[in-house]
This record gives sequence, C-alpha cells and structure tokens, in this order.
Amino acid sequence: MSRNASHWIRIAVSYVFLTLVGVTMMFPLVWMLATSLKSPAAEALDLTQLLPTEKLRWDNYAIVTGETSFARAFFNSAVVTLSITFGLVATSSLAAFAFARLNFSGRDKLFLGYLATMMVPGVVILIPLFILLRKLGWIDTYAALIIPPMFSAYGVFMLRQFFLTLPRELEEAATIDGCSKFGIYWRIILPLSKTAIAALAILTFIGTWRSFMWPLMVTYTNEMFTLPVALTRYQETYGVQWPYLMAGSVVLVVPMLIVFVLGQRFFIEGIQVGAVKG
Amino acid sequence: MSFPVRPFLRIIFLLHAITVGWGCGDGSLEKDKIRLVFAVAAGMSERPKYQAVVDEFVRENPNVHVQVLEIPGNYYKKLTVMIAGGHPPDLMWMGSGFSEFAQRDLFLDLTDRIARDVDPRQFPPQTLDWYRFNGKQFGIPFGIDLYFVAFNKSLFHARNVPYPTRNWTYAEFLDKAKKLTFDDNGDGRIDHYGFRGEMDISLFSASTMSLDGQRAFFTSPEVLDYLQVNLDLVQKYHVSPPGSQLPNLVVDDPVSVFRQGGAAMMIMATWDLPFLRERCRDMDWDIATNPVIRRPAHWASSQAVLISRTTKQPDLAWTLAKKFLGESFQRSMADRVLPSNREVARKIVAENSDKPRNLAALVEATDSMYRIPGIPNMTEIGQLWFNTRQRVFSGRVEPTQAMAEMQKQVERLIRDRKRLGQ
Amino acid sequence: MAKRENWLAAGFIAPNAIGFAVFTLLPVGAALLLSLFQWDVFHTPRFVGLGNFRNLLGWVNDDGEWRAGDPRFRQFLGNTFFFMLAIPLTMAASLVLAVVLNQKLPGRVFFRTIFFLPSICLGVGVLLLWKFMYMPDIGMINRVLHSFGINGPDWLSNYHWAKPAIMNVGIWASMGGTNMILYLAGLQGIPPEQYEAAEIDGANQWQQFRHVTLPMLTPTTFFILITSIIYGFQGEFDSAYVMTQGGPDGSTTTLAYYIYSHAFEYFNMGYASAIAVVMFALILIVTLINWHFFGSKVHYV
Repeated sequence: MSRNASHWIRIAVSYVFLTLVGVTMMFPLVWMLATSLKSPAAEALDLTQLLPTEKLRWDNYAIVTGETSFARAFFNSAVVTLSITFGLVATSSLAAFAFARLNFSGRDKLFLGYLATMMVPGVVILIPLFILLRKLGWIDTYAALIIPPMFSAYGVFMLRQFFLTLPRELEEAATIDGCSKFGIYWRIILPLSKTAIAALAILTFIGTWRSFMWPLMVTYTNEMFTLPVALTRYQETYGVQWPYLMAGSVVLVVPMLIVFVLGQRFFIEGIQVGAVKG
Repeated sequence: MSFPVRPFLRIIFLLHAITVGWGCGDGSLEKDKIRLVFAVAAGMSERPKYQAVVDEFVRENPNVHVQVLEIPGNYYKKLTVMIAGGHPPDLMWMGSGFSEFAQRDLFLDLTDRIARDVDPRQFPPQTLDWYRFNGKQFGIPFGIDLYFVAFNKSLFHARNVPYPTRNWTYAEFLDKAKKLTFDDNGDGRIDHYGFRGEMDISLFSASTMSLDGQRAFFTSPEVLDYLQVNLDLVQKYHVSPPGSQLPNLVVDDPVSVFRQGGAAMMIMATWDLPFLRERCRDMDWDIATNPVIRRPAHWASSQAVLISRTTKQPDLAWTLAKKFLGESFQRSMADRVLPSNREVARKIVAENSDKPRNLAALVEATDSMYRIPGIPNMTEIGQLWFNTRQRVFSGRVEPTQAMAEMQKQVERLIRDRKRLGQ
Repeated sequence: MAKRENWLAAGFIAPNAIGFAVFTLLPVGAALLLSLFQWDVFHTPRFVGLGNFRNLLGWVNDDGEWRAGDPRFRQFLGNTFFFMLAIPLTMAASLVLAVVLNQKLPGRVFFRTIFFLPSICLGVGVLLLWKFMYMPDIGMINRVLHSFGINGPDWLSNYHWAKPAIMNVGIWASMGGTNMILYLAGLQGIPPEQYEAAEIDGANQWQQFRHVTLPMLTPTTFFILITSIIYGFQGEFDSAYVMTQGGPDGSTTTLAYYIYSHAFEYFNMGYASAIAVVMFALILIVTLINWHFFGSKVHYV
C-alpha cells in the first residue's frame, strides 16, 4: 500500500484537529487539578485563575484521603462498582442472547417491556423502590447498593442489538456438530462479542462509580457511603470547600481513567470475524 | 490474554463474604443500647458542634447510642425518602422546610413537654410560634437567622457619608446610597455602587397570601410598591447594579463583592458572618438594622431540632433536643446564627470584641422580625414567586403586568388543588 | 421444538428477569399507578382517578368549556424538546471523533482518554467554570467574541440564549463520552476486507466512509439514537440547575426537573407520576416511530 501525500495530509489534519479539540476537553481536569492545589481559604474568583499564585498545597490530598470516612468510602465504591459491573454484564448477556437468538412465546413483547422501563424517569421510581427495599430489610446494606442497579435494561438492549449483528453461520455449524445453546453462547457468541462486552463493562463501571443519587438514598450510616457521597461533605450548606472537593474529585476520577485506559485494548486489537469467509 | 475468570470470581465471592457480614446493620457492638438517630444537614464545620452536645448527652445517658447522620446534598429530599420509606430519624434538624413537613403531621407534639421544661420568657415571643402548627407546638428554635445591612466603613469615610443609625429612614438610606455610588477611574462605568441586595417585602407591610393559603394578594398596592421601589434603585436612581436583587449566589459571591468594594451597603445574612469575619479581616466594616420603609422589619428564619412523631423514645429524644436550647450549644453556634435565648444573645453581644462592632443590631432586629408563615403549597407558590420576581427585576416585565399574571397563576394552582381535595 | 426453546429461554433470561421484575418492573408499575392517586408521600394515597391528568392536560367542564392544562408543563415540555435538538449534533460529533480516533495513530489512547474526560469530570465544579466563562464581561467567551468585534449577550441571563448555552455544555461534555465509545466499538466490528474490497473498486476515503463505514455502523447508530431519545427526554437537569437555576423564567427547566419538584418539593407525588406517565407515553411514541422508520434501514449482517 503506497503512502502517498494524501495519507500524510490526513494524518496531519487529524493531529491538528485532535489537539485543538483536545485542549478544550482537557481543561476541566486541569482546572480541577489546579484548584485542588490551592489554599482552602481561596475565594470564588481566585479559583478561575489556572496558574497558582501561591505555593502548591499537596497536603490537601493528604488531608482528604486521610479522613477516616474516605478509605471506607473508597472501599465501598470499589466493592459495589465491581459487583454491579460483573453482575450486570453477566445477567444481561444471558438475557440478550435469549432475546437475540432464541425463539419463545412473548419474546418481543417482553423485550418491549424491558425497553419501556427505561422510559420512566428514576425520580418517580425512587420512593416505591425504597419502600420495597425497606420491606426486604435491605436499607443501608450492600444488597441495596448493588442489586437494584444491576437490573437496568440498558445492558440487555445493547447486547441484544449487538448479538443480532453477528453472522449465524458459525452457530449453525456448531449446532450441526451437536453444540448446546449454552455452548453456543459461551464458546461462540461471547468471544465474538469481546468489544461490545468490554464497552458495556467500561460504561457500567464508570456510571456506577460516579453515581451519587442512589447510594445517597439507600444508605443511612456514614460507613456505608460510597465515594461520591462522601465527597459532598465538602459542599456545605453555606460554603463549598473547593480545594478539598476538587482533591477528592480528582481521586474519584483516577480509577475511572485507569479502567478506561485498560479497557482500550479491546478497541485496538484487530477485528474478530476473520473465521467466516466465502 | 484470556481473562482469568476463575480467580476473579473467587476474589469477588471472597469480597462479598467479608462485606456482607460487615455491612449487615451497624451497631453490632451496641446491641443492648437504645438507639437514637439524629439527622443533620451540617457540614465539616458544624458537625463537631452538634457532636459535642450529643457526646454530653451520651455521657449522661450511657445506655443510649446516638447516631449523628450527616446528610449531604439535598437534605429535605433525603429526609423525605427516609420518612416516606418508614425509616424516619428520631431527631432532625429543621429549618425552612418546617411548614411543609408539619402540615403532613410528621412531628411529635411537644406542647406539654415545653410547658413543663422550658421557660418561654427566655425567648423572643414570636419565636415560640414559629414551630407551632394547628395549635400544637413542635419545637423551639435554637437559632435565629436574620438579614441585615452590612456596610463598608472605608467607603463611607472616603465619601464623607455618616454611618447608618438606628431607625434610619428610607430617605436617609437613598441619600447615602447616591453619595456612595461613584466611578473610580473615570472610564464611564460605575465601579462602586451604593447598595446591592433586595429591600425585603416585609418592609412594605405587604402580604402576598392569606394565612390559610386560599387567597392571594399579589396585585395589592403594597406588593407593587415593593417591586417598584427595588426596581427604582436600579433603573431610576442607579445606586444598584442590574440583577442586584436576585444574585446567583454561587458565582456572585456576596462576600467577595463586598470585600472588593463593589457595594458600600449590602444585605447580608447571619450565615455570612463567619465568612465576613475571615475574609474581610483587613477591611473596616460593620452592620446595621434595615432602613425603615413602611415599618421596621427584618427577614428572619430559624433553625431547630425537632422530634419525629413516630419515635420510639420520645422522652429520651426530648432530653437530647432540650440541650440545643442550652447555653453551651447556642454559644458554639453564635458565630453564624443568633442565639434564640435572649440572655445568651445579650451575653454574646456584650462579650463581642471582634467585628462587627454593632453586633447589637442583630438583637435590635429581633424586635421587628418577620418570618414567612407556613401556608399550604408554600414551596410551589414560592417557586412561582421567585420566577416572577426574576422576570420583574431583570426588567423583562412591568410589575403590574407580572403581578396580574402571578395572581392568575396562583389562583389556578389553588383551584387545581381544591379539585383534588387538597 | 418451540416448547423446548421456551424452557431454555427461561433459563437464560431468568437471572436477569427475576431481578428485573422485582427491582425495575414492579417499582415502575407502582410509579405509573400512582398517577391515579393523590399522594403527599407520607400518608396513604387517595384515589382521584384522572384528576391529576385533568389538571395537567386540560379538560372540558360541565358547561362544555375547555379548561387549559398546566402552562408550566407546556413550557417545560417545549424546553425538553428543544434540548433534544442536541441529539443529532452530539451523535455526529461522537462519530467524527470515533472515526478520527480509530485510525492507527500513535497516541490515540491518550487522545481518546482526553476526549473522554469531560463526560466523567462533569460535576458542580466544572459547571461553575462554564458559568464563569459565560459571564457577560469577564467571561472568556464574550472576551473572545469581543476581539472579533462581536458583542456577546449575557448568555445565561438571556431568555433566548440560555438554552443554546446550556445545550452547548451538554454537547461538549457528552461528545467524547458513551456514544464515542460505542462508535469505537462499532468501528472495530467492520472487517478490513470490506475496505480493501472498496479500495480495489476504486473508492476514495470519503466514498469508503459513505458506503462501507456508515452502513456497517447502522446498528450502532440505531442503538445510540434510540437510547439518546429515551434518555434525552428525561433530561439531565443538573447542569441547568447549577448554571441558571432553571431560569431565566424557567426557560432552561426541563420536564424531568418539574417532575422532581412535584415529587420532592411540593409533595405532590401523584401529580409527578402523572407527568411521568405523559412523558412515558411521548417517549414510547417517538421511540416506536423512530424504531419503525430507522429500524428498517439497519444493516444487519
């Protein structure tokens, strides 16, 4: 393949574009970093200056992470997020397989039902769900933090759509060879779906890690708070402690970035469907 | 490159085993103690003050365990979910949300206990009614929040304007404001305004709704007066910048504006005082009571600790709640809210050696406090009122027209609720 | 044969469906049912039939006169529709970013991470930063415009400009987010042979994009469209609230915020549910229309 001029032009344009847009995208994190290193007595207007005028206060981070509630909250977030991610991806992929590949009565109606639940805003569901959890005795437990969010219809919808795009020839061949439906799911569909599943896992992880409203509503004791909730202690009724809040927010963002970067390898490798040709 | 599924699963299950055992209900150490839950909206700086009171209570009642639940974010929303879900706290901090919750019968009637244990003469008489509903008393505030005028003495000096005095009139106020509005560097734009803030509606003897919430008076001349006078400050006399009445508090940090000399006189609240003291340390400033327009008046609000109607420990809860009316707690909170106990307030003022020198103004203001009464549908009507005022103060609508619309909207709201039997 | 698949399917779906039924379907059903009641959240709900809907949508009274519905509902519904105009813009932006970042450029992971940042950093702090930028005199945006000789308005206080200003923040925040990831995943799924075949046929870059990339991406685009509609209606209202407090004059308040207000501020849960029911119906209709219209164009393998 010849590398002609248009190829290099395309690369150059891409980089220019990426850099320009990238700068605007970067500045929230840069601002968060800059603010997190300012003195806690800083005023609102001071916070708009990016370049620090005083000594950098790295000890803000020590103060924030040193709080007793912080370590516990971080742990809670980790447990809850990992559990939900795993549970959601596992159960959603099973259900999505059934919707995409199996033929059963009421299939499309049930799927529409799944979709329909996405169309009701969470605000009105909050109290009925809370009452339900209370009757189960789950308030202020990990069960309440982990189990309800695991059953969102988004994952099922996404994977069903993806499974529908997979070619059926491999499965047909496997069925002829006597493979069970579960075997098809486990040995054919899943490996082919690495990218989609990785995408869902990443999105679920990040969405859950950041979620604030649900953990706030179902927890009672400070020991059960997740990280986003614990950070709001810096947002007092009359006055926000910006540097501490930003230090905490930076710490909140870092694991998400790590997951994102690590998950990238599913989007970089070569394409999977090379086995089916002609 | 294949994902190590089995070890991963093992780790997850292990984590679960640990945490489920851990997370299942706390207080396993204190199983034989009585538990009280106390919900507070406090933040970093206030929590220790509440905690100190709780600690004292626990020392005196060692068989009780009090859990101080610090609620971040939207306090009332979380409180609603807790109560609606059947998990109410035993004690809760209560501010302006009182009337909405009281109307729904959520608090413990403390009339008898108050009559028995509290000397009403210790408190300003109006405050005894502030947590009263349907003839029952549900609490007494521990702190009073007030709006007042903060003024920049250096600017007053520079322009040779005498300080505000007690019972100063609106005419005097306007005169001072005009003299204190000037352009510093000759660029044609006013750098220092005389006044920023809103002349509260209570100063105009105006009433927007009847106490039963069934009739609206938005088109009354007093309400129109209130709107027009505030508008005149911006449009006619130019002593206030546009948008000064409803500033967006997060960006237009009033204390910063004050410190930079943006306005010589500003309406501030008791909760601004810690910030004023800290950030305006190098500035010469003081406070004063509101100018008298139709009558002396000061917007007021309050804070109290109330008890849930369904608490299983009413007597213990009351013992704890009473402590917030005591001197030590009120003193600890005095830097940001006026103690409701008159004697404590007097002492605080007498002992005051910091700015504002004229701390006594706050006590004077309690003679003319005006707290918005709780009426049905208060929050909803309040939201409409806020939106309408925004439109008027930004100059988009004339007051008369805006009030006619507001009147219609509120009447419609009342009718809709009536139709549903509310 | 079909019967066996029924049991088999049950086995696959069961883990998800049981949880779904209990924790999603049940509360949703309860929430929708509540629209027929008047409930102040703390006491027993009281049945009022269609009363909430009459107040909301309007009705004909005994004299045959039409009584108009809730004017704020109409205003906020309009706002919500307006905000949804951002959907095609965001989708296009995400697609462009994904295509550019799918090339085997060194440093692409770095750039992908950078673009992803706004969607995860979006919190009170960043929103306030945007608010500073939008300020009339000292804000960055107007200063830049000024250097081009344009006098920008007071964006967030201007009745007409507040909505686009907020929309802009939304687009900026989400274009490198979920949708970009989904497009990247979708692009991964296009076999390189297709491009090679097209190139052999003499297609240039643009034609390859139009005839290979876009059609192969239709499943992803379809999914993104449907979910964007569903979630777009339920509008992210945090940004509007922090930056404009729903103003000016409620021009940036979304229907979702109105529902929240009735549920938690006015203690009018039944009415909030009624609004949610209407919103649900609208979303369902719009989704079904789009499903029908675009569904047929989706290019499954």
